[in-house]
Amino acid sequence: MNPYPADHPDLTRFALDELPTADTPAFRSAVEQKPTLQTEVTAIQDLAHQLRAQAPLHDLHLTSQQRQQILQGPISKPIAPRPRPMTRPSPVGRSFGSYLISISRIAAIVALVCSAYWLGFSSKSNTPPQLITVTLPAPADAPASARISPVHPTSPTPLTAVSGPSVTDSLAAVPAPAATETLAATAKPAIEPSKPAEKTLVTQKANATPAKPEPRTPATANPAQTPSALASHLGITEPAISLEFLNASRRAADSLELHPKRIRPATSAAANSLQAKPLSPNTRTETPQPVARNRPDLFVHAWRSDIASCPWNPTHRLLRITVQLPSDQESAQIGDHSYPLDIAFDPNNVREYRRICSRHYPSPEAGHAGKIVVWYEFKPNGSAAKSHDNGKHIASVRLTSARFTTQTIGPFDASQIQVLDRGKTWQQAREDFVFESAQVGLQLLLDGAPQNGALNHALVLQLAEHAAPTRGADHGHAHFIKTLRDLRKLTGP
Amino acid sequence: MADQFDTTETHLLVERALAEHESALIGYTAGILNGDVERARDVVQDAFLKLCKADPAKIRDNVKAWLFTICRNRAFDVLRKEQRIEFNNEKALEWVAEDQPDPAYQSDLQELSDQVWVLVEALTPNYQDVLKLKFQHDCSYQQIAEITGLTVGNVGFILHNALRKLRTKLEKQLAQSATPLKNR
Repeated sequence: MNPYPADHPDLTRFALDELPTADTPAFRSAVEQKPTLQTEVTAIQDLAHQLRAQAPLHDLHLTSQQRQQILQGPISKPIAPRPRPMTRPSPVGRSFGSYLISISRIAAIVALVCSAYWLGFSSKSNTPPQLITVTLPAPADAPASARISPVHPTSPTPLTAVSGPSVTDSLAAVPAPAATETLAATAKPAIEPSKPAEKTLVTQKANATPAKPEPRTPATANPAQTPSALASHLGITEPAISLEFLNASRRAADSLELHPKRIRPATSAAANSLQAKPLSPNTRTETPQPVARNRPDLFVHAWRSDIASCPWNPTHRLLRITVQLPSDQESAQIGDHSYPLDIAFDPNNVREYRRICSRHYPSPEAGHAGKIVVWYEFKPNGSAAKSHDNGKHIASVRLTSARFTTQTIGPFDASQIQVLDRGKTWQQAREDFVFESAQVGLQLLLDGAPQNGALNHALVLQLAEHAAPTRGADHGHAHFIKTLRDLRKLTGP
Repeated sequence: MADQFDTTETHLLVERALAEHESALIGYTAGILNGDVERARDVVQDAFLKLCKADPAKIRDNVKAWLFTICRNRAFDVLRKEQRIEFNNEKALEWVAEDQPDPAYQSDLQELSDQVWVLVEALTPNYQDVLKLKFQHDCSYQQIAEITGLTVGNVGFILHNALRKLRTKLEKQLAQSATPLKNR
């Protein structure tokens, strides 16, 4: 006997896709067995569709004053300290105890000032000149001559004066890669009078590849090294706030903020050289800052979308949106402006989706482009494995306030791109897509994200290695694979 | 207070909520306040100011339902103060599921298949409220339950009955419109 009559509230719940997951299969089979229930479900769904489609749209907004009050009022307004009442008791009413306290405070302050002065005077006259040493880690294979042991300030080692020409000699003499830099500066100038006294620089820098990371101990060697500790070294993605799937028919649009400031070139290139210059007393330390004005336009070189099957869930697909933009534009240089990137999924073709991560890739050096990448995992309506030659519309991506650096010509709307799915598998995808999907997968694993299907470290490693043949020379790739292997040793498959 | 919490997160939360729900909240609140948009704006502003002071950790997963609840309660407070609701009859607030359609709507119903929301307006307030939250504001059963203070089961029951009544009305009106005028 069918336990679900046509006039059951759960029938409406089932038709609206609101039934708890555990009850759905039983209900579905019951509905499939009885044509009257099927008719009822179809009728409810039709009515629901009609209601959604014809729902009155509101285009009502708060006034600008109300909006300003919300955004600036209670959040950024600092809490002013409560003013203390200016009730000073008259001297007549003071007790002997309060006088005693005041006198002891004054005495303490005087003693403190005197002792500080004496300490300063004595240290100036007795302390030998100090060496200030800055040492960066050197690789194990660096020549012994290149390694300079740190000199402690209290060490009785006689002070070595370093002259300009000798610095040049040492630079020429050490061709091996070395990241060790030693700056020797004296508290009392001991530079030869013939040399320029205002700059003392010792730089041993011969490694022309600044991106080479320092070697790390294998994970198994140190039991205290946990996956999360390793993950902190990786910094591979910026995970999304929520990793729950969203129903595309209920909430088709997603939006995130792009921060061009984060694609400015990293300053690591300059980190291998260290310069010191004695500060003259009258030097102004603050440099004039450019004045930030209203949000400038965002200039974009190009943007694209890629879709392939999801390696850890055959019923899902992965979507990557890449925006490439110049790092030397005003919006990246001045202030920290944000620009909304709106993604509107097509509820006819997408059942549910989740934003799994986004990442701002800084440009390698000034004048080059950086990129911003956003990853989505979505469940399509219908078969995920079916190929679509003409492309199935998945989403529309819109970047407001953006202008292209290259003028686009054509009768199309350049402010948005239409994301089409042609049913590609991840094995057919570009290797950078596969490699980044490995990074994304690792991030999901480390976050303990739900609904990860067959995702595990072995699969992530497989993805990373799949992209290896053409990216074998990439040191970052090799390092990532090594880290994955370490992680796998720690956590198992 | 907001300063006790992560102000950056609060700020982001408020900005995002403003972008996503501002318009819907004003529309929903104006519906409760008999179409008074200005007052609805004030109510929504109050709700967002409350959001600024709230602990983001407690509401970050449920901002939408939280905001709708605040606006709804505040709108009813406004109505109470202005005595637009008869509170002698508490059942008016509980919205007993009895359908008493307004005859005035009968004359306005044209092309009913395209004007389903006109029929919704003729339903009782509790049906209207749940239908609007579900189909106009895309709230789930759970969110509707949180906003209205009902149980999820109650929401399901009301929604089921509301849709049935709506279908009955639609079928009736379609049948009437299909009947030639001379036979009426």
